[in-house]
Amino acid sequence: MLRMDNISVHYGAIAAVEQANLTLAAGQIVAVIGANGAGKSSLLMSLFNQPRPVEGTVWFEGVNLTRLPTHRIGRLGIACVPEGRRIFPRMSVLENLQMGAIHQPKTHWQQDLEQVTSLFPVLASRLGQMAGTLSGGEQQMVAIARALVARPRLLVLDEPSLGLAPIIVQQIFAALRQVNRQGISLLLVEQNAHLALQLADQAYVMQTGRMVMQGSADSLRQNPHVQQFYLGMA
Amino acid sequence: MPTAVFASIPNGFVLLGFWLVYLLPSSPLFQRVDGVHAVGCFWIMSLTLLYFCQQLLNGLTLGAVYALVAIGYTMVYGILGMINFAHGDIYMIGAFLGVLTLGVLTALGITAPWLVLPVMLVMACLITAGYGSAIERLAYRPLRGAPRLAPLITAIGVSIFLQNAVQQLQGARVQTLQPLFTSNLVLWQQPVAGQPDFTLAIGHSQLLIWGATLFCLACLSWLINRSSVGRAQRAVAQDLKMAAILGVPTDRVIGTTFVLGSALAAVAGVLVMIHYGVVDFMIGFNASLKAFAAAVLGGIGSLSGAVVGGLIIGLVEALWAGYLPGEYKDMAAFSLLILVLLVRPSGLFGRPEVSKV
Ligand SMILES: Nc1ncnc2c1ncn2[C@@H]1O[C@H](COP(=O)(O)OP(=O)(O)OP(=O)(O)O)[C@@H](O)[C@H]1O
Ligand SMILES: [Mg+2]
Repeated sequence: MLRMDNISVHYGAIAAVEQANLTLAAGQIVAVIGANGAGKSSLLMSLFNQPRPVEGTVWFEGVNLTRLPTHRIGRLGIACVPEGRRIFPRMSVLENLQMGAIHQPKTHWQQDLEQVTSLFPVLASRLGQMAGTLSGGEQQMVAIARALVARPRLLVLDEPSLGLAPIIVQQIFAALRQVNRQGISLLLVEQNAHLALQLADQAYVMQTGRMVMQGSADSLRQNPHVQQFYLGMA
Repeated sequence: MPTAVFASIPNGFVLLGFWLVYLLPSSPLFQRVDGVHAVGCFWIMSLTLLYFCQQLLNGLTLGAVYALVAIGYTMVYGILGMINFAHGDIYMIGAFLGVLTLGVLTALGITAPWLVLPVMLVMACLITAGYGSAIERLAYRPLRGAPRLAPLITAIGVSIFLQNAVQQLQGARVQTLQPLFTSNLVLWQQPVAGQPDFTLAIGHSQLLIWGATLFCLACLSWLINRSSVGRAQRAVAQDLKMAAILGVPTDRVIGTTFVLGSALAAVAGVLVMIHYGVVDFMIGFNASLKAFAAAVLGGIGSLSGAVVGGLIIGLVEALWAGYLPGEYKDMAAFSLLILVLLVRPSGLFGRPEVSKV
């Protein structure tokens, strides 16, 4: 479904990602773990050409994304929950969700709205509230809901657990599992390797811009290196 | 306990009534003319007050025009974080297109104001909107992502270009034209001993300016706050890259912003041309300074700020010109701007600058 071949992302002279490869089969959950500054977010944003990779190609369902302008990529069936959520703070929750569904026909809007509010019941009572005044957890839910109403086949998430209380994280990961069961593939970047490896089928480890390990989530969980550096085991 | 007295609203009304009925009429603003009006009207407004009202009306007219132009500045700034210095010249071109349309219509023998006016406005809006969108596409879009200074300099270049182009095409002389509306709505007529009556009046062209401004503001407010185009516009203003990731064609949205701003400036240009009856290729300069000051005063990026700022600048200018040496009226407007910015650096309605990701 998604294949990133030999992707390099540079910011001026800084090389954030170097020749990274990643594949994701339809229906899978793939996790990318790595330390701060490893280049995980840069890798994800390069899917949307923000910025465009300086080399390599990204194939999504047979389409080469690297040639497309950003706004066309969102319409192909990839939705993104970016680092820091990036909801529109001075718009209501409802308007944020409407922005997510901007390229969807109005005919199934009600149905999609009901679906995300049943996934995150708190949002149902907050639709009129300015999104910037929500709590961090609620904002994360808005960001995920905004991505889901775009009816993606691939949902890309960048550290959805960041800064949230464990109970909220549990809730969000339960929701993600449910989303995946509906047939949406997930590409998940996480600092929290425990959580990520629990949820994922396949996982990649990134270190200073390079993919240093890959394999099934279970095999990586057993890997002594991963245990020591990412799972914090002695 | 005086505070308690003021805090309770009914008592507040009593005090206000006391002031209105008893204190205000005995103030020098009003003078008593006994036995003139039979129907319960004991008080006639003094000339001082009438004169003040006249300046107020003039100020509101000027302010409405500034507001229309200021909106263009504030919308573009809200989305791109840049000052479109060519905007004042767009306004000037709007006025000239009005003159041209008027000339063509007159040549065709069409002179009925109710027909001429809409045609002028529509023509000016359409063509000016085209100009605005062309400027964005040719001068600013290629510089998207460049350091902030680059589009700023281009904007100044475009402004100089437009001024000179119009000067070449239309000549440098001030053009005067027949006023379309000459009649007034008399609000108050005050006899003055030994002189002609003092009349407090609103020109029909002033009413037109207010009406058109209110109509434009209502449409704009609906568009921005209620329509999906406006929603996309606000999203782009808040986080351009995220909007693009969601599938918003950001370039098209930015183009729309220029089209809207230019159309409003054209409306302002045509209205001013009708009201004052003079136009030259430099009118954009003064208006753009004032409208820009209005946008900054109200808090650049804020639509309501642009409107309020425009009205304030217009009122200050008119009142100053009415009472104090008129040559200093621009200084008054800009001094006020500086004072406000000293207290509220982000303007009246502005948000403190947050650096965007
Ligand atoms: N806009 C930018 N301009 C310049 N350098 C950047 C930019 N964004 C990221 N970088 C650099 O690229 C490298 C990778 O950053 P990236 O955000 O991809 O890491 P990350 O793995 O997501 O880290 P974290 O876990 O802290 O989010 C870092 O060295 C960072 O400083
Ligand atoms: Mg990151």
